[in-house]
Amino acid sequence: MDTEKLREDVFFLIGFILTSMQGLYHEPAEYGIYRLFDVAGRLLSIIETHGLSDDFLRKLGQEIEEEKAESMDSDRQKATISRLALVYTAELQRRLGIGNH
Amino acid sequence: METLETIMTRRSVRAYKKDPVSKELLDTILRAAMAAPSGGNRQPWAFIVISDRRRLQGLLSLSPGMSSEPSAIIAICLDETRATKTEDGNAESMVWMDLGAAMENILLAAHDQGLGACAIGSFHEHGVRELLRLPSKLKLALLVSIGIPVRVPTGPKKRPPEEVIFSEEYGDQNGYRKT
Repeated sequence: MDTEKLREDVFFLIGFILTSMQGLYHEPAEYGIYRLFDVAGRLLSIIETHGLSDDFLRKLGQEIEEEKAESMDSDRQKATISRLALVYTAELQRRLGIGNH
Repeated sequence: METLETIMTRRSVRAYKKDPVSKELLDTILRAAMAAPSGGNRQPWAFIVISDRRRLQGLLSLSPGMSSEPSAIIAICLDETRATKTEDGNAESMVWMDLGAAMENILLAAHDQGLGACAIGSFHEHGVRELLRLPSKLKLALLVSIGIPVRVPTGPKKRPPEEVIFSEEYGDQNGYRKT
């Protein structure tokens, strides 16, 4: 793993998070959802770049990136987030060895 | 591409391929920006083109509204020395419309040239100013990200004409209501 590159990727990510936080004091409330969605995608992209991902996280990252590439539509994004949360929960149960899967 | 087709098919593109955009294409886009109308022909703008990879990464980390790394960014600035001023010394609202016209020309020219672009209003102003070394006479208005689209988004929902267009006087939709 390229530790220096990972450190830099995280450094850039921190900048995104900090400036997002500051912007949200005056930006529309729904932008907070976009920023959280975006940071999830950026984080998954970083671990993919550094070979730390797995099939589930890779697919999750791809779905987030596809949604990010779409035009802003809060209804569609809300449906995507709800669906991904369910997909995540199923994977969580699988990883924890509990529930039906 | 025909003008109306360009206008109607333009989308805010937020995901870009890693390929660079040629200087020739950027020059075409910038000429379109400079061709925008402006009140009193004051042309109260300055455009800073950023295409250096390191600087782009820096801008991306300071601009939450930009969700992926573009090939280039055009920073649209108001040159206050060229702006008409109100009595209290602020730039008149008209000059911001001039910048809006320049922005739209950039977006349309990029689309016409087969590129994607998106106007970004969410950025950390102080940080971006520092990174671009803007002098005090320039006010940072918008960033426009430009690149080759990964894919073109579907069209967003638009308000129906009945809701926004009125005939002769406000509230009267006759002539624009569907029959």
